[in-house]
Amino acid sequence: MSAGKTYYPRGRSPVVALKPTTLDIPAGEVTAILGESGAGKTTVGRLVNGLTRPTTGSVSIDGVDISRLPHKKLIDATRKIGVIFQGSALLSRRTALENVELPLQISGAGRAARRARARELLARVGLEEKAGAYPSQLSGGQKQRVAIARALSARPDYLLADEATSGLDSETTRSILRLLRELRDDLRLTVVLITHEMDVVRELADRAVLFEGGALVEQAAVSDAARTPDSRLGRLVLPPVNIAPAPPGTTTWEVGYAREVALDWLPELSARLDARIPLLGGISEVINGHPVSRLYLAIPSGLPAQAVAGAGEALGLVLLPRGGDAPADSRKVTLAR
Amino acid sequence: MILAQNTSLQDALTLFWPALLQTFQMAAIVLALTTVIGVPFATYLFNVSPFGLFPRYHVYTVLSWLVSLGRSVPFLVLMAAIVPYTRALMGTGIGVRGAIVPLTLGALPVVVRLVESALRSVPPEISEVAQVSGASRLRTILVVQWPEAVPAIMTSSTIAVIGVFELIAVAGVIGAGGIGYLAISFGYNRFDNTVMLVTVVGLAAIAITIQLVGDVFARILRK
Ligand SMILES: Nc1ncnc2c1ncn2[C@@H]1O[C@H](COP(=O)(O)OP(=O)(O)OP(=O)(O)O)[C@@H](O)[C@H]1O
Ligand SMILES: [Mg+2]
Repeated sequence: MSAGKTYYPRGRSPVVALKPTTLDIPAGEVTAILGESGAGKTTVGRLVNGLTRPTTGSVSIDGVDISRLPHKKLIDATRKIGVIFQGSALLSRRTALENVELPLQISGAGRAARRARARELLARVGLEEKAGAYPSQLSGGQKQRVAIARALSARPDYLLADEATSGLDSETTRSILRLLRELRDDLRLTVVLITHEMDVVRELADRAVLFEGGALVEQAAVSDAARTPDSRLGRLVLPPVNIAPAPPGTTTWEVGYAREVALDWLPELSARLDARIPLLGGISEVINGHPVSRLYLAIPSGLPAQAVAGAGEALGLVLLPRGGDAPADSRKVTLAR
Repeated sequence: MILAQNTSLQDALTLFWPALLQTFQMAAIVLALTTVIGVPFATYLFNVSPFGLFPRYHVYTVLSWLVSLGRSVPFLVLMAAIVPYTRALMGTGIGVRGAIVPLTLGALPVVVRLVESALRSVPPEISEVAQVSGASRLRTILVVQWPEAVPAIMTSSTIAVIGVFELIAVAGVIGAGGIGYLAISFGYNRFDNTVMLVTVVGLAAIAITIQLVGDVFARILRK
């Protein structure tokens, strides 16, 4: 898609929910859409599933531009997207089974066929025995499973989940994520996850897109981002680390690298810079099957930044002063897989 | 000179039963009419509102204003004001037939607001689920909005039904018949305490019964 969206609320000034943005969602992958509250994440989702139309640009699904389609055609085009809403959005007066049947009922499937399909899907999400339960009799995690089954009932190619796990405890979140991963693999789904929970990204996403104030600020493969020290995404994706404060006369530098942790380069770096280099802390994680580490070093402040970066480069490392909230633009990263 | 002459309870009840029947007759007709007109109107009103399926700001503003206006006109004034239209439509301005038109008009704004607010209590994502599954607007209304709004409508409909009985009692003043008429013509004009007591107890019993039945229904429907 390549689109922008401005809301024009009556009697108030227009809200630019999404600045003109180009975004491609690669098929077969799990793309996470990240950003703080109000960043425009939901707006992106609603543009993709046709619930809102872009003010500028266009949105295409499998090459079909849906942004100018008349209502009827739009409905057909967005059928290949299964949607999971925040808080599951189940119909309170229908049983779990009848909720899963809803999309099939709307698309005109016969009663017996949609019953069978709905049962099969409830079994798939592990809720066979809850088929006759009403939403008020289900737990948060169970409701979300029903919502997932419902989103899949019309056999979509895409699954779009807006905050599918927010409000669930971490154990339930993990089981929902495991389910989504299995479904992705079994059904070869393209998944778009809108979330602000980094656990979700670490566990499930192949790619991540970061929005801020209605603008796309970074997009990258999650494992690439995680090992790129100056990546904002990478910073978000790795869990926060507590590190020791830099001793007086030194500055904290950051090394991101994607290998098993072997500190054989540390003495080498020490020698090249002719300085004692204490390790202040770090983190090692496996993200998407890739080992990713980030280490924090105390390097004497007197050394020119160029020299430090150069020494790192000679050893195949990306060494950067610890940015914290360093300006994003000056260190723009473009990553390709 | 006899200021007050109290009928025996026996006689008061013989007057009361036909009046009760008339009251229920009017209530049934008025409720049926307001439902048939009010529910579709409220559904349209809700869906042109900013929360609806096809927001039309100006249409909503005008219609909503009309409903509020309808609610703010006192029923007696409304009834008097539309007598010529009632005559033209029903052939008479008095009696049960004459009361139907003003009663329906008087109850309609209340019913419309109740149904509209019940529809508004349905979370918008639930309608959106139907929309992204490919439902047309009409389908979304039939499959999602109405069924989901039923418990809220049931809960508030007791208020509407009791309100209709109140209007019918008021309509009795201008000769619409029913319990209100009985209360005015015997209880008030003739200071007949027995008739007065019977009508008051009767009206209270009706209101309490409606409330109880409504609560039971609401409990059954809330899952
Ligand atoms: N219908 C609307 N009318 C007016 N403004 C809107 C509307 N929908 C969203 N906005 C505004 O657009 C901006 C982006 O909203 P959006 O819902 O996309 O954010 P989000 O990233 O999903 O946030 P959250 O994490 O809180 O869900 C916000 O400033 C919001 O106030
Ligand atoms: Mg959102």
